[in-house]
Amino acid sequence: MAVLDGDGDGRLSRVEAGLVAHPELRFEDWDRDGDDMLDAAELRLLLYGVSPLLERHRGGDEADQAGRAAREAAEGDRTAPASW
Amino acid sequence: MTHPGLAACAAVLALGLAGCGTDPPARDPNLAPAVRGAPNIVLVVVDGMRGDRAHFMGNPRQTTPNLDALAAQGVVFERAFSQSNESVTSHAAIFTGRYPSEVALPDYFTYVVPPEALLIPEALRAVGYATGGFVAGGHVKAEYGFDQGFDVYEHGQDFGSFHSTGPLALRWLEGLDRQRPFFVFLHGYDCHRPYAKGSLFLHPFTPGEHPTVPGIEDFEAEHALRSFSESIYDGVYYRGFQHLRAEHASGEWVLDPWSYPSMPQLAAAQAQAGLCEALPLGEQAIHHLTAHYDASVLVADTYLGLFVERLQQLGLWEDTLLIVTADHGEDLGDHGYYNHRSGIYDSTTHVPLLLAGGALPAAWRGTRRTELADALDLFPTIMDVAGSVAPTGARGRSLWAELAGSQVAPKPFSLQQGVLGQTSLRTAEYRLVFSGRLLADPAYARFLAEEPIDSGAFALFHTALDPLEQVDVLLDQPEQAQQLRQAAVQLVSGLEQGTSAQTPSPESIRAMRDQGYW
Repeated sequence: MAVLDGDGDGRLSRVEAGLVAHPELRFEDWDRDGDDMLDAAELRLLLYGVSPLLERHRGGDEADQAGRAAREAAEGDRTAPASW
Repeated sequence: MTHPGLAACAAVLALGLAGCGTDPPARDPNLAPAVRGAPNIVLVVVDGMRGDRAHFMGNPRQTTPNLDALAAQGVVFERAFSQSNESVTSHAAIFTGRYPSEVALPDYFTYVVPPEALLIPEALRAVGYATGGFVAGGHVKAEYGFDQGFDVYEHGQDFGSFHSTGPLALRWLEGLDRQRPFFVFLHGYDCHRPYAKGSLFLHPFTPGEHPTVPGIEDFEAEHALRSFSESIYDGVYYRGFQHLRAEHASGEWVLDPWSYPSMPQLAAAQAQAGLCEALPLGEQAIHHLTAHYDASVLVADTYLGLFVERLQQLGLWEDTLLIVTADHGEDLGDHGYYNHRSGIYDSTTHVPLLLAGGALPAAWRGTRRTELADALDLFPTIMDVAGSVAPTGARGRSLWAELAGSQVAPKPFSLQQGVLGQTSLRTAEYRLVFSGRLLADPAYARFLAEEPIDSGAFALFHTALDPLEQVDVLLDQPEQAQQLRQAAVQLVSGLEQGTSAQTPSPESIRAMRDQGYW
């Protein structure tokens, strides 16, 4: 968070996330409370749930499916993601 | 198969010689006393993590906030080196404590760790450790012999991230009965090419920057292609460049090792002949590429931070020694390349080596060491931590004993063997490189000894003054080069020659070629 958080407020705004994130990342999927900010808990879920690698270039559909499964598992419980 | 070296481990255990603290009450009373008191050991290999790109190793970018924190409370070996510049050969050295050419026939295409080799997990399992390996496939798969001695050896996403291997390790750890200490090998390809990452890691160090390169419509998309970085020579991207292939003894057509030294010229010639496109990248795009690599270091650091956090939550951290290192680095244009197998330099072999965790004695925490260390030291170190000894045949020395103040002979140099035939000797001050012969050549030692020092096969770098190894000073300091050559000859002449080899399956060949190998 400290590396990505441009204004140092401990959260990532849509603009801050847009500057550093992959363009295919859908901010609204991870802004669970809809406040237009990713807080530490939401960021953590994102990190658990989305592989950092560009899956379509590294492992194709199988990896995409694994990423989706991890994300779904993570979304099921905010405090104890199944994969981590 | 029973390894002779295991008998030595068992003998030391029977005497209960080594002590690593008090007996945890939950441990199996049938374990030898030394192992009952030995800590858990987690060996993390960040595939392709170049030493100087870690913030705690001098990178001004904040690439490693989690590892920085561990380093502040741990021990950092500032001059640590891998034994090779490619994953398979380097991991072979890590796990056997022997030079790559001793473990197997040093042939890039057929390299395999044979059953008769003794690996760290085999020695640890023999003394009572539970052993688990969690790797991101690639060149560290079980089919290359690395699963020997592991109770479980699981592959995460092929060429994948710690994002996929971390949870595998944690799931295994959560299921352990904790009667025995454990050894975990955790591996991830986060720092490997292509450096373009998804999720939040695309532009942490170049926020909002989108380089434009004439002829490239979408730099990020092009960059994500597997062949991208290995098609850049001297700052020019050769789109469609075809690596030369040569017929291997197996009948397969493999990457031609002789073509690597002249790759920039080959690429330019192909472009001139209209076989590929030459697209100069420009300063901004080059800067952006390095920033992407640094982002990949941050990716690895992030997931290792989450992994350590989970170890703490599971109550395992206080009784665990964490070792973080890498199998090779990456030349980020320092010598005209964006890869690691083309040459042996600090860029491709200087790696992080960090010890941390609750099992680290308090007196050692927060220290930085400047003596030479290399991958061969890991086996003796780990066995020392486990209250045992390294088997006969393992080279290197115990860094644990060194930290404890034992009189351990310092390492005068680190010998490295490149996957394309290079040999390099790195001292605290210099680096000598020899290339132009294949390591598998039976006459290799003779060539190394007899080749005229000024033939062009040798290069000498005064690394202490020229850390990026840009200037070959061999003609200015021929005596220094000769002296190092003699040391290399003496060492290489005494090495056993590995003979094991395997012909990869057609599926493996296809999968590895998809990733730019062979």
